[in-house]
Amino acid sequence: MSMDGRKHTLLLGALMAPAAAFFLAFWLLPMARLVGVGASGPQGMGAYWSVLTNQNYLTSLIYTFVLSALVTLATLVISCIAGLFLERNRFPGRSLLLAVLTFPLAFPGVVVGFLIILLCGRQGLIGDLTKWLTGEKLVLAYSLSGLFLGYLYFSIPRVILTVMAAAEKLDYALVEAARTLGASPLQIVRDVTLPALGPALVSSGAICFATSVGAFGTAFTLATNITVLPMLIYNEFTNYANIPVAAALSVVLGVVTWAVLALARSVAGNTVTVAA
Amino acid sequence: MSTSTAISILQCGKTYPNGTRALETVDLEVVSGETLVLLGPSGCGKTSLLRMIAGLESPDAGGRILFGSEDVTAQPPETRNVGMVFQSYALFPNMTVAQNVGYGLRIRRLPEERRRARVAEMLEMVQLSALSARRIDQLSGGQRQRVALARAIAVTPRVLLLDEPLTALDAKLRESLRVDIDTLLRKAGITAIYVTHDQAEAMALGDRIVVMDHGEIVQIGSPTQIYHAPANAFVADFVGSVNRLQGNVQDGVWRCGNAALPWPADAPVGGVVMVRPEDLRLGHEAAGAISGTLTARYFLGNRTRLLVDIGQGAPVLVDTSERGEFALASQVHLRIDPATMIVLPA
Amino acid sequence: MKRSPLFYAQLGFTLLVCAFMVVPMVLSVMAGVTTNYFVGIKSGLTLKWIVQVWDLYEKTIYLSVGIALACVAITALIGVPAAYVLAQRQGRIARLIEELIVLPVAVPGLATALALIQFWGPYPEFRTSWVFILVGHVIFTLPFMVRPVLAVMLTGNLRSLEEAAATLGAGFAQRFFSVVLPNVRGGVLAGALMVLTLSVGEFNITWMLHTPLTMTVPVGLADSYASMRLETGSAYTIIFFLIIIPLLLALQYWNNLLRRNDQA
Repeated sequence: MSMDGRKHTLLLGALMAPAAAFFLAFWLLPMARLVGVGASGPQGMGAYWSVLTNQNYLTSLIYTFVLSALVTLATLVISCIAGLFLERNRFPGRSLLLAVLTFPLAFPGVVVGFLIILLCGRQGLIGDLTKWLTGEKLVLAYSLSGLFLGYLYFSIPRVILTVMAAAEKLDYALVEAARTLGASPLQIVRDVTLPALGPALVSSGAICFATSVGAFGTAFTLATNITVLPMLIYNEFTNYANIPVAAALSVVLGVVTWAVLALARSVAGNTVTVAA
Repeated sequence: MSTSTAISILQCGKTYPNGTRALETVDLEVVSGETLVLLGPSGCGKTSLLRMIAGLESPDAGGRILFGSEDVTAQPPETRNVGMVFQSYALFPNMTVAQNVGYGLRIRRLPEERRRARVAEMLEMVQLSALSARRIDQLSGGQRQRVALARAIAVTPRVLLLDEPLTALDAKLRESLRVDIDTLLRKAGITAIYVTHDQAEAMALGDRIVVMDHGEIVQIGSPTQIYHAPANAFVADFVGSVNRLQGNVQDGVWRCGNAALPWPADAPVGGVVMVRPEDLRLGHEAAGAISGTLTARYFLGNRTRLLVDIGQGAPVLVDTSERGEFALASQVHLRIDPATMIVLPA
Repeated sequence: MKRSPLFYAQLGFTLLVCAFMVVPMVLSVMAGVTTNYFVGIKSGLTLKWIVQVWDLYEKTIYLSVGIALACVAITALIGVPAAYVLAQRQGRIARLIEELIVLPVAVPGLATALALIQFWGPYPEFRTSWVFILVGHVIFTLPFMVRPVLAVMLTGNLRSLEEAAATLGAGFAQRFFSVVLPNVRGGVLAGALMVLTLSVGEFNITWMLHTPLTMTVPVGLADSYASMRLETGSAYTIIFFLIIIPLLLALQYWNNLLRRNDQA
C-alpha cells in the first residue's frame, strides 16, 4: 500500500463505509422518502406550494421569518457588545460571567420555554415586579414577546462564543495602527473591528436565524397563540394526521434553513460551522 | 553498515491527480554508500523524487525503482526498509525521545533488551543520551533533528533519505549540524539521499550533486564540477553568484573592454561568457583589463564585495580578500584568468 | 488601573445580559425546593418535589445517560475513521461528504424525525425501541464528533507523523493505533463531551421518536411542564441542570486546554 495508491483508496473507502452506511440508512434515504411523501397527498407536488398559497401556512411562515430575523438582529447587537467587552477586558469574575453566558448552550428548547414562563409567565418574576411597581401585571410569556425572549435566550450563548472567538483572532496590531493614525474608539470599531468580525457575524447570524426558524421546543412549551412553522408541522402531523402536508412543510423548512446557511457561507467564506 | 544499497530510478515521472507535473520522466543511479544531494529551488521535483524512493508516492505508470536488483516499485514504504528524516522532524509527540528512536525496532519486534541497547547506541551517537526520557516538546530544534536522525538510522536502513533536514534551523546551528551529519554519514558508509535548496549545504555534504529545475535533472556531478563547470546558465546562477559578460569573438579571441582572452576551441558558437565574482582580480592598469567605476562596496568580513559598473547594464560583482580603501566612484580594472572563464550556450 | 466610563457602561450591559441568562435558572431552582411557589419562599423549603420527580421520572435519567453513552461510543467508532478519511483526502468527494454529514444539524430536527418515522415506521420493533432514539441522536451528533477530530488531524502534522511511521516499517493498523489515535485524543475527547452534552439535551428529534416507554430527560421535562405542578417541573429542571452543567463545565475546560496547547 503506497500512501497514494489504489489500495490506499480502498482502505480509506472501508474506513468511511460505516459512517456512510449509517448516514445513508438513517438520513439520506429517509429524507428522500420524505420528499416523496410530501408529494403523495391529494394535491401532489402542490403541497410544496401550499406554504405560499394556503393563508394559514403563509401567515405562519411570515411570523416565523419575522420573529427569527428580529431575534437574529437583537442577538447580534447584544452579543457584539457583551462579547467584545468580555474578550477585551480581564477582571475578577470574568470567567464566571462567561460560564453563565454559555450554560444555556445545551438547554433544550423546552427548558428554555419553561425558564421564560418562570421569568415572565402568569406567576413570573416580571409579573410580580410590574404589579408591585405599577399595579398592573405584565405577562409576556405566551405572546410574541415571550417567543422572542425565549429565542433570544438560546441564541445569545452561541453568537457570543463566535464573536469572542473571532475577536480573539483579530490582529491587535490593526487596532494599534489605527490609533497611531489618529482614529477615535468609535472609528476603530467602525473601520477595524466590525470589518474583521464581519464573516463571523454573517455566519453566526445565519446559524442564529436557521436555528430560530427550526426551533420547536420553546414554542411547544410556551404554547403561544402564534403558530410558528415547526409547531404548525407538529400539529399537522400529530393532531390532523395530515402526513403529506407535514412532510412537505418540513422539507420546505429544511431547504430554507439549509439555504440560509449555504448563502452565508458563500458570503462569509468557510467559517460557517453549524452550532447545535 | 553493510545493508546499504545502490538505487536505480528508471523512467520515473510524477503527475498529481490535479494534473500538476511534479517530475518529468527521469533516470538516476545512486551508488552504494555515497551521499547524493538533490539540489534545486522549491517546486523543482526533488522532494517528489525523494518521496518516491521512500514509497510515500508512486511514480507514474512505467516508472521503476530498484534497490540493488530488487524492484521495490510496488512496495509500500513500510516494507522498503528506508530511513527518512523529515523537514518538520515528524517526531511522535506522544512518545519520549527513547520511544521515538526505538519505534522502528518495536515495529520490527526486536527483543526488548537488544532494542534498548540499540537505542542507547543511537542516542550516544547523536549525543543525546541524557535526554532519552524527555518528551519531544521539551527539546530544542537542533535536538529534535538529531532525534529524527537517530530514529531513521536505528533501523539500519538500506538508504537514508533526508528531506531538507536543516531548513527549519537557524544559520549557526545549521552549520554545526551539517558537520555532524557529514561525519555520521561517512562513518556509517550509508547510502544517503539528501534534498536541499541550499547550495552551500549541497557542496559541503554531497559526493555528487543532482541539480534539478522544473521537474528535470539539469546536471549531475561532483561539487567542483557543478561549481566550476555548470551545464547551463541556470546551474551557474543557482550554485553561487555569477557575472555575465558581453564581448565579441573574433579570430579565436574574446574581447571585452581591454581584455582579450583565447576563445576555447570547444566553446559553443554564440556562447555566453560567465565569470564568478571571486575569479575577477583587481589590477592596477587598464591595459588587458575590463575597466569600470566602483558604485558600491559591502564589507562581509572574510571578503569585500564590490559592485562595478562596466557599462553593460547590470553591475559586475567582484569578491576580493584584499584590504583596501575601495573609494566609491574610483576607477577599477578587472582581470580574468582564462581558466576560470565559463562559456555556456546562449 | 483606571477604567473608563465606557468600561462601566459595557460592564453594566454585560451584567444585564448575564442576569437575563441566570435569573430564570435561579427562579427554577428556587421553585423546585419551595413548598408552594404561589405563596413564595415563606411557605418553606422542601425536597418533596425532587423526591416526587425521582419517583416518576427516574427511568428517564437512566435512559438519557445510556443513550448518551451509546451515542458517544457509536459516533467515535464511525466518526473517527470518517474524520481520518476526510483529513487524508481533500478532493471534491471528501468535501461533499463533509457537507452531507452536517445536513442533519442544518435541517430542523423535526424534519429529520419525520423522515425517520416515515422510513422506519414499518418496522415496529425498531420504531418503538430506545435504539430508534439512539439512531436519531447519532445522526444529529455525528458532525460534532467528526469536526473536532478532523480539526486536530489537520492542524497537527499528522500526515508526516504517519509517513515517518510508515518509513519506519509500521503498517496501517500499527500507524493508526500507535501514532494517529494517541495524537488525536484531545479532539476525540472534545467531540465526546460535546456529543454527550447534546445527546442529553436533545429534544426536537427525540420528542417525535419517543414512545411512552422510551422517555428521555428532555421528553420527561416537556411532559412534566405540561402536566405537573410548576414546582415539580422546576424540581425536574434542577435535576437536569445537575446533569448538564458539569458536562458543560468539563467541555469548556477541555476546549480551553486544547486551545492553549494549540497556541503553545
